[in-house]
Amino acid sequence: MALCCAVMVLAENNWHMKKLKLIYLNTTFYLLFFLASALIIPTLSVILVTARIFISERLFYRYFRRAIRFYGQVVVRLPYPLVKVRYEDMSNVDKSVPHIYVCNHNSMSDPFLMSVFPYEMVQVVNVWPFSIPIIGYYARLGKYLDVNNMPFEKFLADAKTLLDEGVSIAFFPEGTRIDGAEMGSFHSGAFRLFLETKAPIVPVCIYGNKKIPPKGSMWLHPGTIIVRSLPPVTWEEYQDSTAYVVKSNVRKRIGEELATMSEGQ
Amino acid sequence: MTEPEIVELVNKVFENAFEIEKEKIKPEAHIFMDLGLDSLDIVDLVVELQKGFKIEITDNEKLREIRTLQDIYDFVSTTRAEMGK
Repeated sequence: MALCCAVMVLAENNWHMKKLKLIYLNTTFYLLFFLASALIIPTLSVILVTARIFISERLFYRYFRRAIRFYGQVVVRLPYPLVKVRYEDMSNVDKSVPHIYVCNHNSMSDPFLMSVFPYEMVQVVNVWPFSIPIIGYYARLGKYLDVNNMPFEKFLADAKTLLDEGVSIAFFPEGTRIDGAEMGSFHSGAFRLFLETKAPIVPVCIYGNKKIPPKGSMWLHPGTIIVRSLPPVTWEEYQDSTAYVVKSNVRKRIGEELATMSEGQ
Repeated sequence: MTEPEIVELVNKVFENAFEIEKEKIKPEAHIFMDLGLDSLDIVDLVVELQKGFKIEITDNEKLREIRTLQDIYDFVSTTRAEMGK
């Protein structure tokens, strides 16, 4: 009986500790997030707008996307040490040429995690990131692509121009975040672009952030996130295939790697 | 061309151009939900059907109504009949 009571008290204490940890994580994160945003966004905006007078449009965009990357690096580090993020680059890609990054989609944190990649990059995002105040405006300004609100031909033309300029493009082909463990089905836009432009696809597995934050919530939960880039898929392997075949194979590779990552935890 | 031949050729398109496993290819299979195609994949499907059956597919309205493999068999059959084949 005494042992039973002790276990119950311990369990209750543990529950309180978890709750306290959660409150601490979210309070500090959101406080720092707003502070960092209030400091970084206006400062970089002023610097970039002033610099635009002296530099070309192309250079302006390069610096603008570098500024987005810097902001992403800060945001991703804010919840440390309760949320740790580990990047594992197994792609060995030539960083001087643009790539198409194809990632699974777990959480609202995915676009932030991808923004840290050390390349000039834009993301193909759903409607919701564009509706976030300020950040959505800057995403549009950085020529992030809103695949749902443009005809596919226009999307393809814009994406080709970006790749020609040396800008990599990140896709979340599931379109929306999926509840549960399974990956959703992929849309074929990224794979059509791959067949048309021959830009290699780098599959990216994002693991561990399904609850950072969970779908429909803003609450971050403690955990470790791993972002693993896999060896690229080249046009030469798939030149005679349909976009559907490329899509199925890339989805399979990401799924298999996620299963391995899950076993490793 | 008989109905079973149409079914066989459509199924071959799904096996070869889309690399879909034989077991999944059933008349009641939903091409979006069960086979994972999306609206853009329909472009490739049309190209493959035109090539395989030597037909011209121009009726976008009927194309939009396609949901299952059976719908495709019927669609090809009707299109061929309209072209006098």
